[in-house]
Amino acid sequence: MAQANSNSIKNINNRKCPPRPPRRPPPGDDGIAGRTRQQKRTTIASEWKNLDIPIKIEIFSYLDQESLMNLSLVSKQSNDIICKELGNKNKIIPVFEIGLISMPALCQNLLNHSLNRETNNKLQRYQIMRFKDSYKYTKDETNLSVEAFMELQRETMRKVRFTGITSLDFDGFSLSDQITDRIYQNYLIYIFSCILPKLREVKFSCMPITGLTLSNFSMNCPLLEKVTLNNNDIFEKVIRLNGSDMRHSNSLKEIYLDCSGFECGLQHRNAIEDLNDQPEVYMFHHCCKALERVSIRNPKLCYQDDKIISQNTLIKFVRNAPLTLRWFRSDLTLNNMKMLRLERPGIELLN
Amino acid sequence: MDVEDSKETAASTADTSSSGVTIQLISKEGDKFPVPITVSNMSELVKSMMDDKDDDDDDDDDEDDDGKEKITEIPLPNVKSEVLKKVIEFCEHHLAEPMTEIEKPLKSQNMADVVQKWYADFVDLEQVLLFELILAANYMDIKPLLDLTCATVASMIKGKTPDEIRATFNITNDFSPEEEAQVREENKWCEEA
Repeated sequence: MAQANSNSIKNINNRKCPPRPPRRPPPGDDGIAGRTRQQKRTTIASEWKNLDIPIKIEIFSYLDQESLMNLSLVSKQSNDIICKELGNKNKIIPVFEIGLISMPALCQNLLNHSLNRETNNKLQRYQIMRFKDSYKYTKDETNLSVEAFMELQRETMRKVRFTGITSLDFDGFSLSDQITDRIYQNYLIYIFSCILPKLREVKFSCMPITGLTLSNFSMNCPLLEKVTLNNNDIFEKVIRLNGSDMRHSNSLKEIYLDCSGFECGLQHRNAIEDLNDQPEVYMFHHCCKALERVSIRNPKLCYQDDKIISQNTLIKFVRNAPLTLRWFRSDLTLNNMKMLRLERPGIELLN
Repeated sequence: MDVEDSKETAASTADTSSSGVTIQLISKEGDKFPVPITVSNMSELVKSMMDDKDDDDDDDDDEDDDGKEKITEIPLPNVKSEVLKKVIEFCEHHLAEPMTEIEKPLKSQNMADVVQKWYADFVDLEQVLLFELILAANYMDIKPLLDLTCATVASMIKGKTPDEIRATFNITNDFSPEEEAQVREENKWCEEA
C-alpha cells in the first residue's frame, strides 16, 4: 500500500469545522516533552547548545558521579544545570578525598581546618569521604614522639567533626607490611569512627580490620546502616559470627561480608547451628533488628579445625531472621534454598 | 520523495493490525507516512491529537460515515522525513520487541551492554541525526525513544574528561581557570600533604 485511496482519506486540515475551544494539552504535558514543546515548537536544533534544559537533565540522569563531576567542568551551563537546576535530581555528591599523606600531617590538617571557621563550615557540605593511593599512611617521617602523636590523635578526636559525611570508603587504603605501621593505621581508622557522627555507610573491602574496629564504628556512628567488608581474612583478623561487634547499630540494614574470617567459640558454635534448640541464638543475632540485605559468601571460620560455616548455621539464620530481611546471599546449597524459599518466601535467596 | 520503504513497512504492519485503522503522519517536508494506529499511538502527542479529532468526529458523525476505512492525517511540522522514518522504525520494532528499561546510572559506555542489540544498533548514528531523534522523541512524546536517545548521549559523556566532552559536542569552555578551580573544589576536597 503505497498510498491510501484518496477517496477514503479524511484530511482534517481541509475540513470545515465550527469554531472550537482551545486545544487541551496532551496528557502528561507537564513532563519534559510538554514543557519543551511549549517552549520551542518551531526550531529543530541539532547541536548540544540548542538542546533544551529538560532534555539535558534527562541525559544527565543516566550519568554516574564521576561523569557528572567531569561534565560540571565542561561549561558554566552544564555546571549550573547539574548543581542549581531545580528539576535535576541527579546532583553531584561532594567528595572529601584523602590521598598520600602521613598520619600526623593528616591529623594536624584536620585540626587546623576545624579551628578555621570558614574552612570548617565549607567542609561540612561534603558527604562522601574516601581514601586513594594510601600506601603511605604510616606514622610519619617527622620523628614525632609517640606521646606527641597520641596527644595529636586525642585532640583530633575531641575537636574535629564532619557532620555532613554519610559515607566512608576505605577501599583505597592499603595497610603497611610493617606491624608498627599497621598499629598506627588502625588508630587512624579509629579516629575516623569518632569524627564522623552521621556516618551511614562504611566500606572496608580488601582491608583487614578487627572486630574491635567494627565495634568502634558501631558505637560511635549510631546511624550506621551499611557495612561492606569483603576479603577480610588476609591477616586472620576476624569478626564475631554472632554479630556482637555490631550490636550497637540499631539501624543496620545491609552487611556484605564475603570472603571474610569469622570467630565463634565451640560452645557458641553448637548453639548457633542447633536447629532444634535456642532459637534466639543464631548468626548475627546481636545486630539483626533491622537487617534487610546480608551477603556472606565463602566465609572462613578461624581458630577451628573445621573452617567451614555449616549449612545448619545458614539455615538457622534464615529461619530466625527478622521479617525485615528480604535478601540473603550465601553458600546455601540449592536444595536448602529450595526448602527455605517455602518457609520464608519473603526472602530472596541467592548464592 | 524517498519514503517508499518506510511506507511499505508501515503498510504491511497496518494490514496485520487488529484495529485496521491507519494514520498518515506528515513530515515537515510534507511526506506522508501511513502507519497503523498501534504504532502512532506510541506518541502521546499523536494520541492526544487523535482524541481531539475523535471528539470532532462525534460532533459531525453524519458527514463521513460512508463505511470506508478512515485515514487521518497528523501533521508533524517539526519532524523531518529522515527523522520520522527512524521514529516509525523504532515504534514498529518496540511493539514487536519492547525495549528493556535502561538502568541508571549507565553501567557501560557501550549501549549494547545496557539495551538489546537491535536498539544499540538503532542509535549508532551520526550525532546530528541522534540529536534530531531526541528532539523528535521529545516533541512527539515517545518516552522509550527519548530514554534510548538520551541514554546514548549519556554514554558518549561517560568516562570522558572535560576536554574530551567539549570536543565531542563542540562545547566552548567559558570558565576562567579560577572559576574552574572553584567548581573542582566544590565537588571534591582533596586533602593531601
